[in-house]
Amino acid sequence: MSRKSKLAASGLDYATRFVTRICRIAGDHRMLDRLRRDLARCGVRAAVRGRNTPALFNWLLEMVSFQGIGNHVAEGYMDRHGRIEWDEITVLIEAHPSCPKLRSYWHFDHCGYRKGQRSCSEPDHFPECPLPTHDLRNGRLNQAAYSLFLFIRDVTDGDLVGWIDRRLADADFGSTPDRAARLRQAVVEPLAHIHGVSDKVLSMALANLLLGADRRRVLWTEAGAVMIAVDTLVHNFLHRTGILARLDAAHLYGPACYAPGGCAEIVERIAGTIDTRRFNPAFPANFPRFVQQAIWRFCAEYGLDECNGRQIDDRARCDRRDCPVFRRCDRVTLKPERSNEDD
Amino acid sequence: MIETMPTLVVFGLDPDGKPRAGCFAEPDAELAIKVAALLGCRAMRISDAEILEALPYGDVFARGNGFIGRVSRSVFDKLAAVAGKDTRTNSLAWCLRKRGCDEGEL
Repeated sequence: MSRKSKLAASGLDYATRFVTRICRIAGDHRMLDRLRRDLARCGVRAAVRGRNTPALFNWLLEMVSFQGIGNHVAEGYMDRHGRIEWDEITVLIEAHPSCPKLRSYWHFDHCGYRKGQRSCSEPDHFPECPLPTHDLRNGRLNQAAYSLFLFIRDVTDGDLVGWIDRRLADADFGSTPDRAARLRQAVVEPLAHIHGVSDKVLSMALANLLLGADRRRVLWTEAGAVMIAVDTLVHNFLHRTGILARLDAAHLYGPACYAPGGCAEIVERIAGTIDTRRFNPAFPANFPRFVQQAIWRFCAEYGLDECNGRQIDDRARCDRRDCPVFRRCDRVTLKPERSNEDD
Repeated sequence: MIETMPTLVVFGLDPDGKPRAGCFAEPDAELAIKVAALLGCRAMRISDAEILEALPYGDVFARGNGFIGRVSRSVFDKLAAVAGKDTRTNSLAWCLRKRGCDEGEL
């Protein structure tokens, strides 16, 4: 074994031990039960059983509406200004608006609607366009709503559940090493083309839907278990704990987190070495979503509030001796101050 | 001997008049034909290895110009020539008939 391989192996060993401890401390051992209960309460389980596409669209869009802002702010805005629903868009689209971009999912490109400026890339059609008529938090959400609507109507022929079933069935050919990635990509990759929906929100929404909607759909559960949402908390955790450095995978937060060798792949590799049935026998053995959520809960202010920018002065090494993993953590500085010599 | 199906190729000009084309794997072929019709592109099946090698893969889930990639004028002309040779077997309508439907169904 070369020196580089030995270092990578010891880095993965460190990461596995560290993250296993995090799963013990912060993992939601009743995650699946809780998820199923939540989805039943908001009608998603019934919608999947009954292949009720409008209800699924409404739920997915609400999930998308939470992106880029605190949950309570997004929820407050929707309570005050209303939500956009499938039936509403159906009526508006069926009236055949003049804008050529609303013709199909594939035509809906570079719409460019900006709420503040009341502008778009087809100004001649703007006065009659239905897209700006919904009072959403920003113009990007209006575009996301129409893009998602058109995707479901044109790509899935109005049957989102059937489409997911088919995509997963087509990707289900044997237990090759890339099986998890294949199942995830079968659903995530097409949906990632929808305008205005980030990888993080898409992964979160799909993970919840696939894991919690119908336990009889075995492929759904398997695919949902491997969907990982990487936000700044998860990325910064991997940096601060030295996991990125030990795995020679340092990168900036952003698209690189989902690129090969990025945070998502690292969490997946770590999760692959942790049998999560030790936390709950009902869990799948390979459960990256649980591992990622444990990391997030450990960090988040609304979770255990241990590893985040409010608790740690990121200009220096973390000195929080009361952190439950202080002694085993590499405590890498996230934003080191530049010394005078560097200037 | 198993007879392999010729590869589905979609080609056309983008709004700027630039030539674009792409080939599609069989699982995406049906949707690619639908998109081609919607975007006013031509779809045909070809087995000419030389032409296929010069074509990028298309993406049925990409919007706008992302559906098929830019190609050189010479490749585009070759595709147009192939399509022109036998419009009965290479046209979009042919592809649709092979699926057991007609253009009106799209």
